[in-house]
Amino acid sequence: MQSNSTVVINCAGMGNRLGFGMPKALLRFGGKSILEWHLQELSWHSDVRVVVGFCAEDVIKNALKIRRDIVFVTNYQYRETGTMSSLALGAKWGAKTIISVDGDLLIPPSVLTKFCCQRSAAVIGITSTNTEEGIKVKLSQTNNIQKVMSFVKKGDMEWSGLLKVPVEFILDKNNIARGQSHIFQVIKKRLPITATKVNCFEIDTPQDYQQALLWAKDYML
Amino acid sequence: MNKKIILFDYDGTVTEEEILPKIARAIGLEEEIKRLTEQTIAGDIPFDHSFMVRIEMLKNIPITEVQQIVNQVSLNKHISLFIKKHYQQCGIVTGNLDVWIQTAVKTLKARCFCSIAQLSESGNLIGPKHILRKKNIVDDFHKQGCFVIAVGDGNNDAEMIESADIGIAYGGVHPPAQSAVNSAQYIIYDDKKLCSLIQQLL
Repeated sequence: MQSNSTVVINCAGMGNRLGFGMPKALLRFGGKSILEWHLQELSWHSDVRVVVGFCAEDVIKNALKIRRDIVFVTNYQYRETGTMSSLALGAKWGAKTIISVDGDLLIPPSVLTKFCCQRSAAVIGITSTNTEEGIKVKLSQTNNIQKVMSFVKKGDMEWSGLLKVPVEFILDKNNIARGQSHIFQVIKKRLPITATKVNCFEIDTPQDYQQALLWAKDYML
Repeated sequence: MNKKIILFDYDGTVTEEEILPKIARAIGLEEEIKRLTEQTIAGDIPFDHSFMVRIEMLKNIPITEVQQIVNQVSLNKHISLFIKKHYQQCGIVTGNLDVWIQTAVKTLKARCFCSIAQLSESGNLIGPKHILRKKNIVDDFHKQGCFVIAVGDGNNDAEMIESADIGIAYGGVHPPAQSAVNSAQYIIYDDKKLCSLIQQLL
């Protein structure tokens, strides 16, 4: 039976800002890689795709420890392309709804499932700002529904890296990506979009990694 | 919309075991064939040369005996069912000789593209008359305006996977060869997931 949604876990990048020489999805917390955490949490989902590029073999080997029925999507142009390219490749030929999960995002168990099961057709996962990096969001609230109105340079809340959208936000009717660089640049044209707060931690820099180790003790282990 | 064609490698993709080692075991040439296979996979021997050496080793075995062994090779249940259901859109692309493989492949109902044997007047195998180049099958379908999906696992599938509109490296019996992985847009290790992805592509 075809799934109603396709989950795309983006693991193609080199993690240059972190500088560890390995995909961030393979960083380990509590004895498991971030990717293993995602895949274990998503064991209920039938259409999970992992986009691989940098150190593809290592990412694949790690993922296969958890489940074998993953579709690995290759993005060998990872040096020249942004997150939007990876997401578009992962979304192609998938379901009508695409759930994008960044491979460098620490998410406590059940938080990811809860996000995937959000009823709205389009949802942006937002989280408290913990560094100067990150795409900040401007929010509005009507009838208990919060929406992301725009992406901004400064703010208390930022996009977490979790996104649930209709596939046509990502691909046009000819299956061509609606942009090449960063996901937020494509999504900003579709705002406002419903926002949901998620407790998570994105790792971009060595400082983030040190903070993540402490954060994980409270929320992941 | 262009007609979609799905080309499947046979050995290790549709079959649940590798054919050549099975033949080799049956006729007591297991070590020799194993050494040859390892050298081919390592790239020490080009595929065409390896293929010729293999035929030399096996050509004195009666064709019917090799056919019987090939017919006993088990097929992946999900993939073979998929092919039978969509046989008009499917093709089996294998470097194996027609005289060895055709009876087994017939059960799948799909077209078979394979190497062609040269036989003596008495019906014995002399050698290959034509060695299949998998990429050529993709090119031929492209000339007909078809959209080609190719599935394979070995080094000799890499060109077919790269030339196809969608190339899938499949790790059923063993992990796909690095060259196949490097050429593919999708890499899959589960037979049901392979079939469901191809269904999504159709």
